[in-house]
Amino acid sequence: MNKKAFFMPLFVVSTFLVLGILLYSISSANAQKDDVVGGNAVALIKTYDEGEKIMIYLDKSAVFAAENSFRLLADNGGFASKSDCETINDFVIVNSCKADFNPQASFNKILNSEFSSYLFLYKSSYQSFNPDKVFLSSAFTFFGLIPEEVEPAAEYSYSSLIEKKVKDSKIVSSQYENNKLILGVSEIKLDVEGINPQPLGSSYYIIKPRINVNSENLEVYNELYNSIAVNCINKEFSECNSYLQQQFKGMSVVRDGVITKLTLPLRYSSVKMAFNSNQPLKQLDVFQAQ
Amino acid sequence: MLLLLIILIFYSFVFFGLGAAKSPDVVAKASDYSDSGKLIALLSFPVDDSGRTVSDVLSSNPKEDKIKLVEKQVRLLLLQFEKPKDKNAFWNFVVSADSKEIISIRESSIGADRFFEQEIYLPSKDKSLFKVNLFLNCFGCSEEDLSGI
Repeated sequence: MNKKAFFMPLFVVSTFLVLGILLYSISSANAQKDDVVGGNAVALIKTYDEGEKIMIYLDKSAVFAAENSFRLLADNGGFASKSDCETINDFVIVNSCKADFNPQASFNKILNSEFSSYLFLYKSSYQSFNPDKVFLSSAFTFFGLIPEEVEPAAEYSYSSLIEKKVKDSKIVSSQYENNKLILGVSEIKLDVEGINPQPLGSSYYIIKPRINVNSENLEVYNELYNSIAVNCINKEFSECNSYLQQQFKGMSVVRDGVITKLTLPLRYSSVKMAFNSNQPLKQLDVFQAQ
Repeated sequence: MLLLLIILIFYSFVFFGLGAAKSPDVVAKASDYSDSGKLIALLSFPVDDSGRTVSDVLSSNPKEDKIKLVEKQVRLLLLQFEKPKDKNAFWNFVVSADSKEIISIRESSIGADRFFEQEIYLPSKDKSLFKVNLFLNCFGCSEEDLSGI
């Protein structure tokens, strides 16, 4: 047998096999590496970034919610809704309302509902960090040599988790300061996305939003209610009219039978209220300015 | 002999050409560290004397004249954003609501790639959402070109 003729094909085949095994060894070892250099820093930056976007969204939502709430409160004559009251030409007749007259509580109720309606729409634009795949990792996954990464269902995706937290947040405090209303929103805890080998939630970032919005003076509702009770119930219309016009600048008073309709422009809204001058007002001694 | 040469060339290509023998460390790219700072700064920029910002105007269901005002201001701001030198690169700004584009400042060259994509959803006064996108369109930009931005 010719040894040279045998050696050469053996050498070629061996070279092919050795290099093939080397390629497999390097690539499979690389593909199983799950430590991304800088991955945790990127995840942290992304979480801070998402926090900034959430703050902007909450800020806009609070401003719109407050504007809408002041307008709705004024339209409802200081009550949270018209449903518990009788109305005349869309004016709430305050004597007929079942609920207590408490403009501040009514405003808070409307504000929370309005704020939630904006938060309900919230959509996160968070993009998960996807580092470049290692050479041949897809091929190894395809042939089952390394396990496939399971993606969570859409409702459990990271952006969905963020969205849920924002949608669940609520206004927990409100404070008036220099014609501004400062709203405190419940804290939002953002888990930092888990980049291997760190699991989700091993780090987190908490935001506690406090938002300044333009404020209306709600004390005027109580003053108006008090003035009606003292100067208008079981009193002559002329007496009531002259007192109200004198006390509240820009007020318009219209009489419609036993019902008197008032419109009082405020800074951001216009109070619409009606009352029956022959019926007493509820809980006059109970309400107080807040 | 020829077969051996072919095998060696093939493996050389796989190891060195395709990078199978490269360092196993998976490293986050410079562009991965970017945030939405530019977009947020842009949205917070005042557009008129009353101090209303770009986002204030966009979220109040603006009319055509207000949209034009915002578009004009944004164009000026985009020109000030840094771009890779000696490259065909443009910052693009798109505002859309209900899949309809309200503002579209787009400029790109054929075959260009998108970088530094920044996106935010904001509420409108009428309880709907609008989306704002900012991205850099660049032809032939490398990691080094983008690292300084």
